[in-house]
Formats: sequence, C-alpha cells, structure tokens
Amino acid sequence: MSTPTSEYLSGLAIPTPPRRAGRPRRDPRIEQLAGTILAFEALSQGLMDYAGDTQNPRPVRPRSLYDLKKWIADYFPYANYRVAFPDTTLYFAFCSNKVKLPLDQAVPVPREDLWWLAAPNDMLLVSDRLTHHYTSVWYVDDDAGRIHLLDPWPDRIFLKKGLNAAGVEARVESVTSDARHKRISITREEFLRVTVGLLTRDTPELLENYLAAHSDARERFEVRLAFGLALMDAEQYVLARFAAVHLEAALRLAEAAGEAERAQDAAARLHVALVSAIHHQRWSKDDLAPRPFQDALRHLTARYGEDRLLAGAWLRELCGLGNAAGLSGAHDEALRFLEAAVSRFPDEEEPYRLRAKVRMSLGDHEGALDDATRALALNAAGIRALEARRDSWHPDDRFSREDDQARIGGLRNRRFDELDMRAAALIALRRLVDARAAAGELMAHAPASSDGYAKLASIEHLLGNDAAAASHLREARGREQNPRQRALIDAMLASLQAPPAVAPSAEAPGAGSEVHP
Amino acid sequence: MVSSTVRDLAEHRDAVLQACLEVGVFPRMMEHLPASDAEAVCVSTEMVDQSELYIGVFAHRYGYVPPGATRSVTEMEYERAVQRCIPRLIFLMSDDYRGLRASDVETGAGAERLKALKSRLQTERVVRYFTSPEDLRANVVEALVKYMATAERTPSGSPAGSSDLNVSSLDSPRRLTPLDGHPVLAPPGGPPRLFTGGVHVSFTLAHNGEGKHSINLHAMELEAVRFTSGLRPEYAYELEGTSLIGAGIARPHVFTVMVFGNRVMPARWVIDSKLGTFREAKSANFFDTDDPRILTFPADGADIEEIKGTVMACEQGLYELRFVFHYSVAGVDRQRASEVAHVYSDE
Repeated sequence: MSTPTSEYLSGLAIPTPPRRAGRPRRDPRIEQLAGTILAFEALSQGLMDYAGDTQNPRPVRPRSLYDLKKWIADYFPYANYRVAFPDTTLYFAFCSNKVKLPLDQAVPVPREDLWWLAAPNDMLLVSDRLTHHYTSVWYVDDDAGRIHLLDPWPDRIFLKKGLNAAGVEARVESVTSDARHKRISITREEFLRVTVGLLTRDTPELLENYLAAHSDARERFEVRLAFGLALMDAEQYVLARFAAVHLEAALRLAEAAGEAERAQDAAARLHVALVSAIHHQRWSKDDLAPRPFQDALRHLTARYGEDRLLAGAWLRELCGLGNAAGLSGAHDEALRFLEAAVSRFPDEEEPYRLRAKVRMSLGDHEGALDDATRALALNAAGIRALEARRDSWHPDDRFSREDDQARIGGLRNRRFDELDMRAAALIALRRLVDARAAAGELMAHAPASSDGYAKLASIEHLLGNDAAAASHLREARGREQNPRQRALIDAMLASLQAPPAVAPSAEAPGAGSEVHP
Repeated sequence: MVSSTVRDLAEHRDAVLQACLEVGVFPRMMEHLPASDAEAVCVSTEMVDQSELYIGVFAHRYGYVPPGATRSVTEMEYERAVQRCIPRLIFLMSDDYRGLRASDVETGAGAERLKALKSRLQTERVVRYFTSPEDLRANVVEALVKYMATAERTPSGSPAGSSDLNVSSLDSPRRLTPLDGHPVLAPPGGPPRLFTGGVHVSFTLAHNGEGKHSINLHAMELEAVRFTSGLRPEYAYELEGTSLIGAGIARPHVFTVMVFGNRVMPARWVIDSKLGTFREAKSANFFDTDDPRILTFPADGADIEEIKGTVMACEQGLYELRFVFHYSVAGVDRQRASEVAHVYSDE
C-alpha cells in the first residue's frame, strides 16, 4: 500500500526523481497515488488522440483551474477512499498573484512560489497568452534548475521551440527504454514565464509548510482568506476546523488594517467555518472537542452579530450550515440557517429541499410538504431551462451539451429526493390518495429504485390492503441493492404475514390523521 | 527639410545648406525658433509636411523640449517624417569627431532620450557618420546624388491612378486584439488603447487596383518607435484568470516576435504545429527566412493577403510599435508604415 513514487517509476525503468529542497514530501499514500498516475501518464503517451487533430477542434471544453479541480474531485472523491488516504486529503489550486481569480477558487501566490510548490503529479496550467495547456509535473530538479513534465502528447507540446509566443524552448527527451515515452523539461525561468497555476493533492499540512517557508505570507490577507476558503471547499466542510485558523488570521489582518469590508467578508466566512467545525466535532462524540470553536464563535458573534454574519453568507454556505447542523441532530439550528437561506434566496431550489428534510425530522409534515412541492417546481423549471440551453448549443459543441446534460442529471437526482420527501410527507399526513399519486410519480421518475414501491406498500398497508402491500414490498425487494435495506424489507414482509401488522416505522400513522378515501 | 539642434550645430547646418545647394536642392531650415512654443512645434511639423525629403543631423544634444511635451522639437520633426513615410537621410556625429565642446554634450534626462532616439535612428536605411563639418558636407552631397538618381525613376509619392499597396489600418478594433486574459487600458491623457503584455495583430494587404504595375512586397519589419523603460504604477494590471483556460490546443501561430525594449528579436513563423516545425527570420525582415518570401500583387489581380501574428513585449516598460512594409512598384522601392500600437508590459 505504501509503495513510494520512486518504486512505481523504477518499475517502468523511469529514473528516480532527486530529492529537492522545496516543498516537503507528502504522506506516502499520496505520493504513491502520484506515482501511479505518473506511470499512467508515461505509458499513455501517444495513445490518446490529440484534440487538435479532430475535424473541428474548437470549441473544446474550457476548464479553468477551479473547474478542473472540481472535475477531478468529482471523479476521485477522497471521502470514498478514507482508508487508503489521509482523512484530510484535499485538492488545492494555486495561481500566480498576477492572475485575477476569485479567492475561493485559487490561492494567489508569487510566481516564484509556484516553483516551490510544484510536486509530482501536480497539474500545471501553462500559457503563452495564446495557447493554454494542462500538463503533469514529474519532478523538479533544483540543482539543474529544470522542471520535468510528463504529457500525453510530448511531441506536440506547444512549449517546444518556435511553437510558442513566450520564447520557451522545451527539451523533449526519452524517459524509458521505450522511445515512445518522453519527458519534457523547461528551465526555472521559462517555468516562471508560462506558469499560470497548479493543482495539487495534499493535506492541510501543505499550507503550514508553505507559511513556514514563506513567513511574509502569514501577514497577507488574500493568502490567509484563500487558504481558509480552499479548506472549506472540502466535502461537507469536513476540514472546517483547519479553515477556521486561516480565516481568523484573515479577519485579524483586515481589522488591523482598518479594512471594514474585508473584515466583514472574513468574519462571515469564519462564522461558517466555526459553526461547521462545532457540528463536525459533535460527531466525534468528544464533548470537549467543540469547545475552542464554541468560544471563538461566541467571541465573533458578540462583535459582529449573528444576523449580520448570516446576511453576509453565500447561498452554498447557508445550505452547508443547515446540512452540517442537521447531520449533527441540531434541527432547530439547521432550520434557522435554512430559513435565512430561503428568505435571502427564495428562487433557489436547494434551501427548500434541505428545509423539507429538517421539517420532516421535526415532525412538521405540512411544512415539509410545502417545501418539497416548492423545490419540485423550481427543479422542473431548472431542468427545462437547462434542456433549452443544452439544445441551443452549436452542433459541434458536444462538450457544452454534455456538461449541461450532466447538470440535468444532477437536478434529476435532486428531484428523486424531493419526490421521495413529498410522498413521505403525504403519507405522514394521511393524504393517502395524493400519496399514492406521489409514489407513482416517484416510480415513474426512477423505475429501478425500490423507494416508490416501498412507499406504495406503506400506503396500501394503511388502507388495510396488506396483500397489495406485500406485493409492492416484493417489487421493492427485487430492486433493492443494499443488503441492509433488503433485510428491512424482509422483516416488513414477515410482519405483514404475521398479524397484527406492523407498519413501516418511518411512515407510521399518527392519531387523528386524515385519510383520504 | 534639414532637421537638427541649432545651437551646437550651426556650422554643420551651414555645411548641409551648402551641400544641398551644390546638388541643386533647396532646403527648408528653421534657423530661428518662433516666439511661442506652440508655434515652434506647428511650424516645424509644417515644414516637414511641405518637404519631399528629410535630412536629420544628430550630435550630442537632444534638443529643446517645449513645456508640457515629452519629446524635443527635433524628435517631433523626425517622427513626422516617419509618419509621412518620406525618404530620410540620417547623419550622426561620429565618436571620432574632434573638437567637441563639453557644453555641446547634454547630460541627464536629455542624454537618455537622445540615446533612445539614436538607437532608433540606427535602424534607418541611410545612416552615415561624420567627423567634421566638411565630412558632413561631403556625405550629404553623396547621399543626395544617390537619392536624386533614384527619385528620377520614382513616381512622386503615389499620385492618383498609380499602383500602390493597400495596407489595412491598425486603428480597426479587429486588427489589434489583446493577448488572452490581458486587459486593454485607456489611461487618461494616454493612448486610446494601451495593450498589455503584447498584442495580436493582423493585416490585410492588397493591390490598390489602380495603375498597371504589379507590387512586390519583399520585407516586413517591426519597429520599436519608442520605448520607455520601467514600471508605471498607474498602468498596473492583472490577468483575467478565467480567460486562461486549459483548452489544450495550439492555435495556429502565424508569426511571433518578441521585443525587449528597443531590441526587436527575429520573427518566428510556425509552419506546422503538428510536426513542430517553424522558421526563424535571419534578420529584422520577417520574410528573410531559409525560404524567403516575396508577396506579389499583380495589377489585375484581386489577391488579398492576410498576415497574422503576435508581438510579445518582454521587458518592463511602455512601447510604441509599428510595422513597416517595404515593397517595390515598377522597380522602385517604397515603404509604408502602419499606425503605432501602444503596449505596456510589467511582466
């Protein structure tokens, strides 16, 4: 499991990279992944079609540093590989501070620092302001002042002499005994001329190492805020406890400089980090773990006021706060955040969807039904708008069409969730005719899912039709992939055949509930 | 038109006057500045406008800079001659010159400007050095005789109905476009479009459809008309990160030329980005490659040639750049200069 990069590379007869003085080596598990991917890069050279050779090479899928970061993260979510990698593994985007990008998308650093940062398998965005290209870092040779790159198309790289407007003259050399495998190298000075930014995999330790090596960065507001935002970009704010440190530093720097607007911005971000950290620490079941964050939160809200802080929160932050609070069982708190989200963003689907969940948990079935219904309406409008846009792209622009199709897929997944909640709310409210229609809609939306059949089984059971309920449960069981869920369905089936019947607990009828004929 | 500083070169101006008269040319010279600065600039540029030939004599003084102006009257006269594309004969005082007085050598900012101007003058086609007023006189006579021999074969200017080269104007927004992610500035009191980092440029070239002569375009050069070194905080700019995307495809680079201050590097033409082949010019002439190009525009043809490329400003400072096309019509050489492109680089 812990085979280092060098072993992977030496297995391919690729020379082992020398150690360098810059960025410290990462956790061996991350280095190992880098080695694996680099080996793939080396082996794949020349096997992939070069996009520029197609009949109509443009437009190609445009990907900014941040787009690429999110795209890679979607394809390789570390959350799914917690055993294989450090818990805190994350993708970071750094850009030259000459390049203007939102601070929540990339950390701006002096160009020279990109050289320090560059590590095996980082994705490097290089540009001569005319052609732009992502390539992979193999290793940095500080002694020789050169950076070595592996690229799927080494013979086509625009960094070769005469093919770029920046005067870069890349060397293309053989990298293994197989002449097809080639490496590219450019000098440090050339690297600084063309590098826009890089994407790298590491843990929050990278940021500490960076600050240790570049002490002046500790006192730069942009760097500290961007560090905090980069850490808050982890799934479900799981690294909020690390982010809070940097956001607090950003706030301190803005306040010391008398920059009220920046201070307000940093305070709003810090608030989100502290609240998220408290909820995540609650999961740890360690009563003392949330304390430092609670103290910091009290101090922050005393100075800025929660209303002001929430007023400065972004939509995704309010939803994230609602989600984090909901997951830790603080439903009232979750509701407060989501009320703020709905109030500030009344035409956005996500706050309604999340509030419907919280209201269900709180037993407010009417409220949950309203929210699920509203979310469904916004979802349908969103899908229609995306479908119209998808169909309006130029016939050659398949990438834009595919991107929109993927977004539509995301909205359809949410729709499933919303249909499921509406059906559950209707069952809880004993509006069983409407519930039956809602369950039918759920089955039509996702015929392969067991959920719609399970809902129908509940409805039939409540109506006293146990034979029909059992039939729906058998349909549900046939579709269910999860063994635990299958076992649950089996238990329900058994209870239906052994009176008195036990209704599925989630949809148990309440006293005095209205049952529509 | 004879242009030079006056106070330090009185004797030399007289030598030039004598040389002109010797070959039968009547020179326009401004021996006395008019009463006001505004009038001085106006009169001097008017004199260039009325002239068919520019003779510039330069020693060690930059010359008088009117209040509020950034250039001396002498440089303005040269600039005007360049803009009008009239033939220019340049005479520079040699380092071997004897009898130079200390008071005739300018120091400080003027000396720096003069240095920049001289480096630009040295790119002119006729540059000669003189070591004394007598030597200057002999040089001017020789250059004028050659010029007149050529001029006799040359149609005066480009009269209506004669063949000439049409070059698209760089003032059109399509002809000059910014590098990806680079803003175009419009500083108050500055040029209307100040490109940053460099500029993409394109020209269309065609026969003007008049006359019966074909046109041969044999040279194209980039000229650094002026370069002012250093950072300008008022022009500070950032690159738009969302425009720098990993598209992954090399666009066709038609030519690329890098400029370091006043130094224009040889142009490179991408021949085939797939095979990775390119050609590099062997001189300032973009067409002077291993496979030299001459573009011919027949009189009765409707050929339109488009030339595209990128200029990269590689040293911090403010650039004034223009392209000069050298061509011949009926065996007579002509040249045409583009409008000036303004570029600022702080990278």
